[in-house]
Amino acid sequence: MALWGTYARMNLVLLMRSKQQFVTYIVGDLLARAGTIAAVLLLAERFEGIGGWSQAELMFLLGYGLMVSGVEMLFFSYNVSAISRRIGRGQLDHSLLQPQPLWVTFVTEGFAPLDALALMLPAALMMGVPVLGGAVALTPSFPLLLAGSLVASTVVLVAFNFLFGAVAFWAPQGAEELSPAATGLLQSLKIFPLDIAGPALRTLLTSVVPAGFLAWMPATALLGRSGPSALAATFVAAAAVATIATFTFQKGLTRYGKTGSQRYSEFGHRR
Amino acid sequence: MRASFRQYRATAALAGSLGFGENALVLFGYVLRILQVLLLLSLWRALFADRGEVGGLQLSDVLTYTLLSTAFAAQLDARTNLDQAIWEGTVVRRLLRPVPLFGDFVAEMSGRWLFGLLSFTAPLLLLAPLLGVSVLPRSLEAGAFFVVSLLLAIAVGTALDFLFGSLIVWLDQSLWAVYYARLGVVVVLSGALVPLPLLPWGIGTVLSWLPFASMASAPLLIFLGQGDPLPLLAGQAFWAVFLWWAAVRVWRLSLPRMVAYGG
Repeated sequence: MALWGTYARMNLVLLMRSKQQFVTYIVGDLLARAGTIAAVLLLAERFEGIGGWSQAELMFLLGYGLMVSGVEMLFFSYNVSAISRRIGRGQLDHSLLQPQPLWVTFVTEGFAPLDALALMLPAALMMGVPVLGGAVALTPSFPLLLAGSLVASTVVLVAFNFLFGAVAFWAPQGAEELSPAATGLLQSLKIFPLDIAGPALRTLLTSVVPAGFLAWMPATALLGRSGPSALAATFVAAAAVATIATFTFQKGLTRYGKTGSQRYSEFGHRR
Repeated sequence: MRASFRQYRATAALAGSLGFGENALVLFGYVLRILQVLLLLSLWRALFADRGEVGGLQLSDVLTYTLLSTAFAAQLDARTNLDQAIWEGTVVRRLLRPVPLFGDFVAEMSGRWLFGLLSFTAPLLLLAPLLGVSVLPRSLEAGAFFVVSLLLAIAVGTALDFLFGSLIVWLDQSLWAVYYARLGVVVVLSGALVPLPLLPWGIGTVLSWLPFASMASAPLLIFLGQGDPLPLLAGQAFWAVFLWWAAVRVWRLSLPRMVAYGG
């Protein structure tokens, strides 16, 4: 908690350096995602829904996806969200030298509440409007299920980042940018309701490329479009990707312990 | 400063060769684009099921539009490395080169495209029939107009790129906030993601007057034989001339400011 407080203050200092900086960061983060979200909503308006999803349900789906990005940004911002850079540039030593377990560094160093608010507030609004409009059947367990599925979806995203980031242990230069490419892949595909995809594509997007767990699969369950199995599948996916990522990262870390970094670049080092 | 075509060609060849020597990351980008196009094709098939024409477009038109938009994504949102060079400060070294700055960046961008055109665009166009998409222009005339329109789209895109680069100098801000905001907005405003005629409430009509529409919507609609190509080409030509005029002037004002910061 103390570390989160420290990093929250640092986040505040960074953004408040000037009014211009604050506006640029907040508006920039929002605009980066607003385009595709607006495109899907406008299409839904023109075609009165997409793939059997009403406008309100799509709003919830997109809001959920944006909230997952917000939660990821809240805890894993800066280059923790692109861990292959840290490893590939030999900057992991900075974290290993700290007098605390590596995982503590990973879950605290990227804490950026102000940046995350720029995504989480509009995401909450996008999810709240369909809920208030009656598109979502509110049950006593809904808040708990929503919170749990958001955590699971974020775990899928973060674990995917670390899974591909671990490749940089073996190929520091070649895989330096692999994490952002991998998570970018999931982020850009999560905005679609996968009901429109054929069975093969849908299977691919809920297995090898688990973009379906970032919004579509949990949203179908939360909206009552499918049974609780969709929610269970999201939790299973989170556990599976996290296990594979942890195993791979540990293997890479063991190798790193023997060989060390083959290169060092101070480029882009944060904090 | 004048430079010969040979100098630009050498720069383009160097930039192109980098693509061939790059790592597996480039394949990741291709996977993303292929999955995206597959999803978008599924999306259009779902949306146009049991519908005839929407916004003057048939299903086959929209499928062709989407595939071409993916195949020529780099050309329909032309980007040099100017923003990154400003951020890293390496733009200072560029200024020392014996070629004009704009030409240097454009030549480098063209070289990078060569690799993508060979390794992604051409195979995707060849595979299009397997995806049930026709990539033949409506007529020979439409095909010829498309080539001219694509060149104008590149001219508009590069001019906007230099204007964004100047914006970074003036804002004195992190490159990435501007970069990602631009990425998110331009793909929609240009019609690269969704054809502008499909947007509701006449939004597409309004957007078609903006310069962004000249980057993607205009060439793709010309390819489909949608509407009269001459007004679309005239609009593109206007934006190309105006934006390049503006880019050169704004850059001249930005340059002393950037050098004062030490590059």
